Amino acid sequence: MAFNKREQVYRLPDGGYINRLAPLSFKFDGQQLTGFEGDTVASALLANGVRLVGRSFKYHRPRGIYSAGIEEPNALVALRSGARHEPNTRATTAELFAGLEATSQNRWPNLLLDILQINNLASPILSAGFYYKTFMGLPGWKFYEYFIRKAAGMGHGTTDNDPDKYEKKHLHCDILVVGGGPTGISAALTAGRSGARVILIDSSNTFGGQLNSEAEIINNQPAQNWIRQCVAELESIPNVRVSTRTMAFGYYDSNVVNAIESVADHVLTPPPFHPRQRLWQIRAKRVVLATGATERPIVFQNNDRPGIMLASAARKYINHFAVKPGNRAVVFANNDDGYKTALDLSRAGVQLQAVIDSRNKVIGDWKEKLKAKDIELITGSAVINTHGYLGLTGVDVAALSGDSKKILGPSRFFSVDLLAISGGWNPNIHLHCHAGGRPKYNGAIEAFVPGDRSQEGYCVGASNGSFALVDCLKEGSEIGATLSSELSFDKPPFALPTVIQQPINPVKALWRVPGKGMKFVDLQDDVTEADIILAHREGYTSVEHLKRYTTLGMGTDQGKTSNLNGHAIMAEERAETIEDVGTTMFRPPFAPISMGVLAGRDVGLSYSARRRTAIHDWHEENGAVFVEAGQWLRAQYYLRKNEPNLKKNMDVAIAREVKAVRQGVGLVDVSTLGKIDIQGEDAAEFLNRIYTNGWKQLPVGRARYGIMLREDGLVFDDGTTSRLSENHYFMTTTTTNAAAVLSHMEYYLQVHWNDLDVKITSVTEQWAAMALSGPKSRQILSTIAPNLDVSNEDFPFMGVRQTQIFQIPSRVFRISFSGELAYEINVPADYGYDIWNYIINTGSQYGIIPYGTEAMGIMRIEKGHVAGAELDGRTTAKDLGLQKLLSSKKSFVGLPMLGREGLQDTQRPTLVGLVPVDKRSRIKSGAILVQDPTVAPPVSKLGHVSSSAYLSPTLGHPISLGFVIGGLNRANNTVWAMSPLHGEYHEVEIVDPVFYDKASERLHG
Amino acid sequence: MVNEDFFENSRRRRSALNRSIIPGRYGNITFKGPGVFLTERHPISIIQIETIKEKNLSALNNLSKCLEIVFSEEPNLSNGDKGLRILWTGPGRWLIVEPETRDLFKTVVNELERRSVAITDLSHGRTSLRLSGQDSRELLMKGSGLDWHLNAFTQNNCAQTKLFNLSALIDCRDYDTFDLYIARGFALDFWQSLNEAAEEFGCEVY
Repeated sequence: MAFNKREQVYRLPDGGYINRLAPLSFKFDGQQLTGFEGDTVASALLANGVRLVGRSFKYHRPRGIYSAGIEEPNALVALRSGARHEPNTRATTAELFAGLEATSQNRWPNLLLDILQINNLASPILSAGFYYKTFMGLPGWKFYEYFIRKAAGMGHGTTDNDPDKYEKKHLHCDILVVGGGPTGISAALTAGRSGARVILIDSSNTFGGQLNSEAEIINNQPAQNWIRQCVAELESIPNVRVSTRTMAFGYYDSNVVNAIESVADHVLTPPPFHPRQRLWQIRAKRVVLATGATERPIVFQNNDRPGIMLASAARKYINHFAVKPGNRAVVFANNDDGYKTALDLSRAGVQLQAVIDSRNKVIGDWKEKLKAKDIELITGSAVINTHGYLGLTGVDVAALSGDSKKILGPSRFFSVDLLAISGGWNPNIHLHCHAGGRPKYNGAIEAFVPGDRSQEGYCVGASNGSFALVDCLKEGSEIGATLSSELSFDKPPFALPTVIQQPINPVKALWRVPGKGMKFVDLQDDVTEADIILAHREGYTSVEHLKRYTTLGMGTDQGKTSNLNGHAIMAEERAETIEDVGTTMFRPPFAPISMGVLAGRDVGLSYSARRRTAIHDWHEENGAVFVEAGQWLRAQYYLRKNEPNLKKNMDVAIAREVKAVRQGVGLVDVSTLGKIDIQGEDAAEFLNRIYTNGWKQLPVGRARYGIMLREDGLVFDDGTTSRLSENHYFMTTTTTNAAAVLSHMEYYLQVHWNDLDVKITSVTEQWAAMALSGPKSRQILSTIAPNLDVSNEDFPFMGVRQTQIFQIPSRVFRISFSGELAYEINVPADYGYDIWNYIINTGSQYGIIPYGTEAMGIMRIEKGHVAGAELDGRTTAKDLGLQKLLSSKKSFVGLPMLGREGLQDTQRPTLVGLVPVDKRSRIKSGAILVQDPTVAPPVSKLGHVSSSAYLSPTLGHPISLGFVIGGLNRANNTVWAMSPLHGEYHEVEIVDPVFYDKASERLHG
Repeated sequence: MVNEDFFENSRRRRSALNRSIIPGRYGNITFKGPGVFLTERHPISIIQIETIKEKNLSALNNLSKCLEIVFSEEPNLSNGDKGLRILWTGPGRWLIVEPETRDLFKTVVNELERRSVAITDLSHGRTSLRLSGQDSRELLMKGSGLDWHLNAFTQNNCAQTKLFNLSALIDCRDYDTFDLYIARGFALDFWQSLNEAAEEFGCEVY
């Protein structure tokens, strides 16, 4: 692409850290512009003379580019379009790339002609608390809210799915250095030379920090030479990892710092196979916080016009981006930054009208330097007002009284398009505060500095209030050496580079310039001096209340340029010191971060890992529809060819499967049941304590059903345990409770009963399990296990046998969940697919079909077997009709609490069967049982429905299990099952919970 | 005596990744070649032994002689050669692992007094993967909070940790080679996670 010089009229002819050989084309509000590689959106806009970039939050006032960094309150733009559209992005940090689309926000129909700028006229009544005072309590808030939200705010996100990937990364190091300015580089280099494992990160795309914004000299060379040499050395040290575009956004307990690496935010789309961003979780033994400082503005009338920017930003645009931020300028400051800025502006060819210093005295040679450039210096004065609308056209300057409380004499007008301001510097102590450290006020620099720290994190350099370059280099190298020594590394040599240090005049606090009019404290949230005075007047004098009442310090910048000014004004109103008034505390994140990077790759189907049985592939190949049970994917029912997955086909499939089991034979995959291997001489004693029933007499080759309680006496889980040999047992648990039961047992073994010789191991994954169920199951078993005597006498109900099936060592358990004659066959998982296939093929002559969890669930309801819906953590053994399993001859977990009055209450709902009176209505699980559904709420609850079979193919009508007060004493009476959320009310008859084969003849047969 | 049934059955074992491992090169393959190599170790024998009386290492003497390997009580260490490996997984508990070339469970049972040691066959319950390549440690950093620095997790270190949100046992075989053990039921999702994470480095499945 050819670069037309006329396109970047504010670009300086040389200098800067941009690649002039790489022009980049981009769009702002549809206008085609160009910049260079190395530009930010903001610097490219300024290079093209674009000063108006947004409208303010509430008053829709024109706003420009205010800073050159992460603190930007004004220049928020939407980047990209479509699914990658990202609102509220700081133009001052967004790197320019070819094809970038940036759009201004919060304006309609366009940036120049924003209809809602009318709000500015109404500003006298749109003060803090306006909405609450005006609309709250009135009818129709929802109506007003719609328009208020349309009128105020920022950008709008996209509802499309994010097409990009995000990664996470876990890092460890001895010393983490946050911030790659002179302080951080010195610290990292010293520590790295000692042999310590060091990580150095910086949020920008290049190391150097503030040095990149200044024309500093180190070792008699431009500072950038020193930076390059240091970074090259750091990169050559094996134990050092350096990373730019990596922003530490939170400092957490245990010295964990989280950072985000912007892998591909500086390109149109991430390269193939690369993430857009990467979340780093860094565990460091020591953390050096060389996070620098942020310049703060001064509050005066109409201090928000496009063309007004922080002095350091003006220098950065000149020195780093080779952009002239204006043609005619005034600098207004209360510290020496004003002079540095003035000289840089002059060097860049900006016509400097004057430097306004609110201080009266200036030491050093600044005066002479200005005079040499023919720049007027006005001391003891301030900018008291500005002019212009879509851009700055002039400023009024007047003298101040000695205490800066009054304007003295007439004002002078200066015609300018740039006003660079500096109210001093605030150390960036955010991470220090995240870590639990406190801020303390330092009157010498009129700013909060790090107070006591609570973790191994050390603020140094500008973040510690040391703004002189020589001090930054010294503190950095000292902390690097000290921390290395603490961690037993050799103290390395570090020769402090030579720098020329100007004497620094002390800053003189000037938070606000006297006078009336709109004086913005928080530009992003349109919080004015008047809002703070109002908050004070109305009693919101605490800084925390001030924030909530006025929104001071909220938004994407979190008050980086406004908090201290706001708090200082409140202090003045309260006639107290800033130290007494205090400051709000910083919380993570330091700057806005994307939600995507927090989620990483754990989105969509990857949100939670799915678990598959060894037979899963067979189910997939044979029409299974899957349902999630815990994390397992289980076959819910099987559709045949030409049966699309419609509800009617589902009902047909389920009925087909139930009928097959009741009349012939079916096979279900029960591999998901928890399986625990128990070994040791005390295994029987252990089971005796864990289960409520007795286990010491269980013979080898037999299984027993048992329930276990929680310590509070409520039922925890149920299942069978089989004795495989003298000291070897095999326990099954419910699918969803498998891990919890294992933990429960491990807890008792390790904490309470470590005298028992018992070892337990989860073998859930080791065994593929399948239940062969139905009256014809014995015939199939005899065929597939010819060495096994399957007669009822030799292999009775609850018998356990070890045999071979298809030459594979197998375990066969004669237990039944369906209520039919059934055998659960366990084989090592890698053989599961083959054995299942073998059984299906062998059983085809008996009409065997696979059945899923739906059919299984219906059959267990028909049989009155309790399952997860009944063992819901609220029921006792008695509630479930399992009181016979509560041994009176021994103690067991949960017994002491089982005697509690509440658990023995005779009014507790107990298990019953339920049948709709009309024999048709489907009763929803969770429905509430009441005597009369027409009674107005609150309605006395008799119980609830726990499980429902919408149709029992065996009985020909719906059936349910539930709990009702009085239990079977109410048998043959009716109650109502109401499901108010669905508007359903059905009369149901209370019946025995065992609907099918009450004498259990089938499963014993 | 060679047990023909055993070898026949070993050949019949069906991996949890039976349909998913497709050899080839995937992702960001550069001129340097793949940064990561992945394969499954299957069939494999995995036997857990746990001394019932903790620290009763004498119970393992016979097995130690038979397998020609030492059981170390030091946490998170593994040892062995290219074949058989012993991985410490808890106090008094180890996994004995080797590619399935013999009936390892039977060998172990024959050498141990079962009253003093609990022996559990987990060969079918775990899927084992081999991760190697110059970027293998970078890949592990994506999914696990452990310190994967070359000097922190070295050859013959092993650890049970969360890897891509799943519990995994990791055995460092060499500076850039790791054996991973994951519950069989999660194998497919884990494999997919691993492959997705490896795409950035370029991955060869073999």
